[in-house]
Amino acid sequence: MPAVPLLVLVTLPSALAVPCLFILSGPSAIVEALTLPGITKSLAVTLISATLGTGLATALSLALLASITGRSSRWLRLTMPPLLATPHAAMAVGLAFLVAPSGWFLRLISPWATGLERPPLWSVAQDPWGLSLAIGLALKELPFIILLAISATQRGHLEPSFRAALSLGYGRYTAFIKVIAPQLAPAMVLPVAIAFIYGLSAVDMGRVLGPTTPPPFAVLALSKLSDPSAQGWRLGLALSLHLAVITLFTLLAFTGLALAVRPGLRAWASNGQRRSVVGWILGPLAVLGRFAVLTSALALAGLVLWAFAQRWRFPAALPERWTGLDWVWARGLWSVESLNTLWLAFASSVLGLALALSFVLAERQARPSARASIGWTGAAVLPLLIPQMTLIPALLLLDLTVLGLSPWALALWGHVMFTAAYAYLSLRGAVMSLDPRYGKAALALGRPPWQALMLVELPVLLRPLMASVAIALSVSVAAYLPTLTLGQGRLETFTVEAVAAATGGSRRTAAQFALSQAFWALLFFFAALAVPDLAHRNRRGLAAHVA
Amino acid sequence: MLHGISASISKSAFAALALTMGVSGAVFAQDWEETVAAAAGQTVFFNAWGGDERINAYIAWAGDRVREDFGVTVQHVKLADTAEAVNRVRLEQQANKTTGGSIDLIWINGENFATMKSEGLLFGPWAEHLPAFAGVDVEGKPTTVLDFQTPTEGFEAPWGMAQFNVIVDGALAPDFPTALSDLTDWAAQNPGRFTYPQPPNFLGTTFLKQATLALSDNPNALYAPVDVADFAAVTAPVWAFLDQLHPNLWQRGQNFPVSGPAAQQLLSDAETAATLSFFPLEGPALVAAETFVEATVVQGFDGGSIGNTHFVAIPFNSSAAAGAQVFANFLMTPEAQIRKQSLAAWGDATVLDESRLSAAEQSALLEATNGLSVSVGSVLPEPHPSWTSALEAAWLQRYGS
Repeated sequence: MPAVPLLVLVTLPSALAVPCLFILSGPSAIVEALTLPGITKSLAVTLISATLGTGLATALSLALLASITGRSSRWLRLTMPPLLATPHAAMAVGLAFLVAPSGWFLRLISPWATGLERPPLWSVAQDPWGLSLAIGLALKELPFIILLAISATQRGHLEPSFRAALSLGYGRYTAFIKVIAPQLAPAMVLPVAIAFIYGLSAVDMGRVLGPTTPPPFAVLALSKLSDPSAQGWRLGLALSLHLAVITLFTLLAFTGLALAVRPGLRAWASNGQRRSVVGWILGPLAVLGRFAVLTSALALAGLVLWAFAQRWRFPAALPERWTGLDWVWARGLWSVESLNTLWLAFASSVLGLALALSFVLAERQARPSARASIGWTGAAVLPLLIPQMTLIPALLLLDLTVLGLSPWALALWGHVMFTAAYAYLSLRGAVMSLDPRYGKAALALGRPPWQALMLVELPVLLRPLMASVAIALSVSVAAYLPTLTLGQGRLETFTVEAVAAATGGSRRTAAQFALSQAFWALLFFFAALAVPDLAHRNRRGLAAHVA
Repeated sequence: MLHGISASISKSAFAALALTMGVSGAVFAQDWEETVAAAAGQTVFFNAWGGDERINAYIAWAGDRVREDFGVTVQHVKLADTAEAVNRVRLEQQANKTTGGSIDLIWINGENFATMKSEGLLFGPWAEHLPAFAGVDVEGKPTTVLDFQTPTEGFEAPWGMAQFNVIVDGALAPDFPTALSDLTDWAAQNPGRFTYPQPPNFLGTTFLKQATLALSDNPNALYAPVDVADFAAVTAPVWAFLDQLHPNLWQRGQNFPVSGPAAQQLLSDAETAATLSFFPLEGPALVAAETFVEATVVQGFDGGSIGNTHFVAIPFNSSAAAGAQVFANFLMTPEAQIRKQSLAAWGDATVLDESRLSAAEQSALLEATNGLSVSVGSVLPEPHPSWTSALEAAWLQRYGS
């Protein structure tokens, strides 16, 4: 019974999205969409950038994790939250500014080293096959994968087995890939899949870093959706539908591939060889991973400078004139955007957490088999498994034709779908692996079940609960399509403004909104993580037990 | 109020006006009072392209003014593309939402207006009943009632005048040509230093129209629906021109900036040496804002530059039609129009007849623009709206894939 709210509010509308789009676009548009000029190349760009981007992010994450296992990783823990909190669009603008012909890298060494008084003619961003988009996606997904993997490493007993492997003569990287990675894999499959699906439907990053002739598939779909003619609009719906089908097939293909190579990988992992080619590759990759983190940090630093730059022309290394500080209040912390961002984030996080918690408690109660638990997880994260370009227009159509909710309620609902899914994702492991004897002890002492839950189990779970609140808050703060489309343009939040400015081409405005947005997201992040430390300051055992 | 302008308007326009006036001139004044009364307390959701900070700031100012004077609250819904609003109104029509629509006023012209008008998505006629419409220069600026060859018939109120032009960094490109036929030679000598926003962005599409009008053997075909023309023959010289031009554009013509501001950023970064604009005062205004260098010049095209008018229209199911009319009326007043034309605000030319402004208003207008001209030579009327999507589709087919 406690599973019902999430099933109704999150799973059901997601499941309705595809048939809903099928009916509204109609067979003729579905066929015609496949004959649009450049459609094949557009699809290729999307598949290349999403596959390469996710692959690169996963490889770099593994290499970085391998290089820090058993060592202090303070720098990684400190740099990941700001990078995760930075919206995709802002990161794209920052990266494009780094590598553009008139970008920061060249400005720093021009004209004294390069002799360039004007930007050169070559360009690396917006290449025709989406490689720069792939790198952008990889840099942005890296902190997401690493943070979820770190929370997995702390739970298990990974470090002793790593030390055992080292003492048995395995090299660091080979030990990691043969001993630790197989144990991490179950916890990493879902985040990697979600990152991949995100890459397939990335609109904000695709518009800044992707090529334009033709653009990536999701960008093409969005541009058709904003065609004034009715037929053009149906083509956009049809393209969204195709994107969902493509996503399903690529996921099936990758699952098949993974199942096919698994026996080989197992045999390889247990072949007893202490050194391996993979180990040789991971070392340099870890260096590359550090370079990637540094690049993201530089992109952020460039954004900060642009937020305060009035005039900054090539080849000046720093802005020539600065803006005042007035925007910090006017379009920053004391603005309509700020208010909307905050109430949406708080309301959707609380609701999302409540839905996810009651769902995961119901799942624990049901004690599903391994196969059935795939169904439970699938139901909870369904909104993340469908491209946003498919899900969001469908939800709006559903509302306009049947429900008739106000834009505010609809946008909140859209946010809750995503916060609930992410909260479930970050909460499930901790709840399922909680020692059942806490609850049993409380029951044995005569407490009713609800008191056993509220007074004993949830306080023990405070740290993972607050971590999922932090993630839910930052998900809501960054949500672009749900806010724009479901809010029907009436909800101005930092993300909406930042993406509008980024795609409108104004670096300064985009930077200002992105910084304001990152400010709240970061504040939530650190505040949520500080709560358990304060609450548990006299209970050292809790700090060590679940995190 | 209407009598004062009768002398200066053409006979046919006068006949049309006299007809409406004669029937119910007195009723309108009373209607207007009722409209103003009904508007108080309403919130107007104004859906307007939001990609330009300076325009956004102007809209915010105008919203503050009507809240002070009429108690009307204006909320600017910042669109990435006006067609988003067209689609939402259509969706609401399909869902039978005939009242309480989510949009009250749209910044619109051209193809979007033609689409909405023909599909019955607009409220009206209303625009020519507004008191401030009397000041509009319908004779001297005929596009204020003829939007891309579609008669407005009171379904949209004129807001500003635009004329296509080029903003050139005079230091980097002192010899940027004014004849489009010379552009290929210039680009060959200055590879990578020019580009245009990618169609269907309106600046890119207008570049295509300007090139077609300038280079085609049969430019008059553009003033009739595209169906009756031999599209391939009319546009052949344009594709030959672009085939020659593109290899020498920014990024060798393989990518294009997504919008006007994105193209302006390229000029500001000195990656390009010239960019396209629809407002002749935009260049000087951005010099004043220190975005562009002092040496910036604005130029038109030999043989005339496309000019048009942009409007505001009310959807059929607006929940605040009275408030929307009060706001649209304010946007046409001398106060709002003078500020809009000023370099410090937006630099968008007025739709009013300047000769009928008061002496004080005329000097304020001159001062606002620093004495600079709002025109870059003769005005070419916009082609028939059906050419817009035909040219865009042909461009995408050739260069977009």
